[in-house]
Amino acid sequence: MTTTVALPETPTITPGRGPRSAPPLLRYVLVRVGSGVATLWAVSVLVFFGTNLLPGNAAEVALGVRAGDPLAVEKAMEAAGLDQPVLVRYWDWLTGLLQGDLGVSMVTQQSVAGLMGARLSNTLVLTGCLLVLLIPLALGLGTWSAMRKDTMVDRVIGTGTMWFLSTPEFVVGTFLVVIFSSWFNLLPSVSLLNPQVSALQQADLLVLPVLALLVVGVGQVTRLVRASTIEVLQSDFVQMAVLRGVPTRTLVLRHVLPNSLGPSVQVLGMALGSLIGGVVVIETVFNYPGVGTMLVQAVSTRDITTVASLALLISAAYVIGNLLADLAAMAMNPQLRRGGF
Amino acid sequence: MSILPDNPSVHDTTERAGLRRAAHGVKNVFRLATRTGSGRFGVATLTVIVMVVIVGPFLAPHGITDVVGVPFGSPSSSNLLGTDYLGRDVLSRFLQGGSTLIMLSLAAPAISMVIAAVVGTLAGSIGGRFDLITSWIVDVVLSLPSLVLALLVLASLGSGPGASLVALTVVLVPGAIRVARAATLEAASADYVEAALARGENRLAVAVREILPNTRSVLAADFGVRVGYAALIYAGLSFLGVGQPPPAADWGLMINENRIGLMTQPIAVLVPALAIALVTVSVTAVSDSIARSVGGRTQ
Repeated sequence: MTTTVALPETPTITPGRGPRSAPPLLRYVLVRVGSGVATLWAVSVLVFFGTNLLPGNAAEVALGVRAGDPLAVEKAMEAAGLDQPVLVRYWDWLTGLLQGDLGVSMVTQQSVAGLMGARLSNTLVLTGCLLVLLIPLALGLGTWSAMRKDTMVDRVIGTGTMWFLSTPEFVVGTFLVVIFSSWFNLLPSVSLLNPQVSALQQADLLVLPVLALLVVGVGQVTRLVRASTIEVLQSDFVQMAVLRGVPTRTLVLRHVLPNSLGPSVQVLGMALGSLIGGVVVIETVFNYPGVGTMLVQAVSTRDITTVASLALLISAAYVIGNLLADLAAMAMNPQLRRGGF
Repeated sequence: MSILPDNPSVHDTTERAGLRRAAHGVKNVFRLATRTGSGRFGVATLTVIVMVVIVGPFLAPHGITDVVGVPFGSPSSSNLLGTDYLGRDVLSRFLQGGSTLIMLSLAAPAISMVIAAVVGTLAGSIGGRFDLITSWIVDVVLSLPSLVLALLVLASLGSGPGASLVALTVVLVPGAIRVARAATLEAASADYVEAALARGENRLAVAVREILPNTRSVLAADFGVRVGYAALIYAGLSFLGVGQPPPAADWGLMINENRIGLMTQPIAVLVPALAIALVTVSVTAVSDSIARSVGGRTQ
């Protein structure tokens, strides 16, 4: 017998097939996607009104020194469409965003989408490289640590991950630069990408940023994977398999991983928030031309329109990432697939 | 109006009892924190760092804005840690640059805990529409990455210690409310709460008298975790150059300002970087040790 999960409540239904199992699955997906869209909308309201209603009139901030001149302020507000009622502005902003128009920078008067240029793909390359390395590494370490719970291995991994996850990314990045650039002169200390070539083809510029993110990210995700794996290890079917004398390899591949993978992916979705924060910081450490450096620059010049659009873009990535993680977890969980939740 | 008679001796005893309880609480936390090796390391390191932050300003040989040498000068007998990008004394700026990090890391979680205790307890005990709306707002705010949320607040308010405090509080409050609400719901299922409600007592009075005393330890444990978050996030903001405007002496800002000279004068970057890492790692080690000791005791 190789069944890896607790028996479903209605064993007569063929798993994942047949008309009777489809509706709950579909309903779950629809509810989850619907709540994701609702969250995205609510975030857009929060970002827009948070940046537009708080003290510090955007036009005055953008004008800087000339803010004393009421006529100039009025003109600038008209140019930026700030004389319109706030709800109209919100509607224009939102519909613009949905069509890929990120608005006009308050400071440079250029289109935000134009200023972004290749930055979005650069950030995606950086994040993609991070996830490709992070997921297997954290999964492996977390599972290993959980299997060896309360042994030396577990304690070393537990202490190591705690140190790494609580060290700020920029500290890790700075120390990596000192070691690999200053002492050994192996890798560049700044990642000034050549815009003519894809970021992926400039791998030497990616190594240190990805490594810095990886050190901190592995710390976080390994702990979460360990926790969800321990829960699986304590379940009856794994205990049964252990008692039956199933060899460790089979136990991990057949019984533990198929059931811990779902929850692990789900917690990875939650960790995505701090990983995104890490990307923003690490891009600044290495002067990497991505969305993160652009956001930080817009915050320091108080370029409200750029900040709002980029913040919403990044938050949307987080919300959608979480949504995908939840759906992937559902696809991996045999019980949820059957609709038996 | 106090129900106690206006008798100084009574006041005295209650006050002393309060002090005793507080001292007992501190001793308890200390015992839990030092139960693991990394916890002992954390307590020792934090003690040293807090001493440096308190005593440092009195020991600093120069002012934070005094130009005392050439930019990125190497360590010498007059500037033990060398000079920074403007030729200011790194040691002096280091000794005076930790107070904002330490203060904000304590103040923001404290304010968040008070807000969360009020809102979370109300949401958990009143329930109904208030609970629904609160939980929904909490969910929405939590769906922004912490650092992005903090940057949004700072973009609207400008940088500075006050704005940073607001930004950190905004980031910390939603999670704290979620914890307080969950703890309230758990405490509310106890028999004595049902008994109090059955006696016809006011829900609010029950929340304050029966529930809050039982969620206090959960909130306190959560406070420790949030001090760690606050330190990490403020260090990040400060490094990004939006925590405090120059010429303030601030460890994160020092790293940001001096990293262009990392090759010639690495000390100006590495010393504050090491200090920040020691703060964040120690706080996490301490709160982790407390959580594990409490967890071990209840198991």
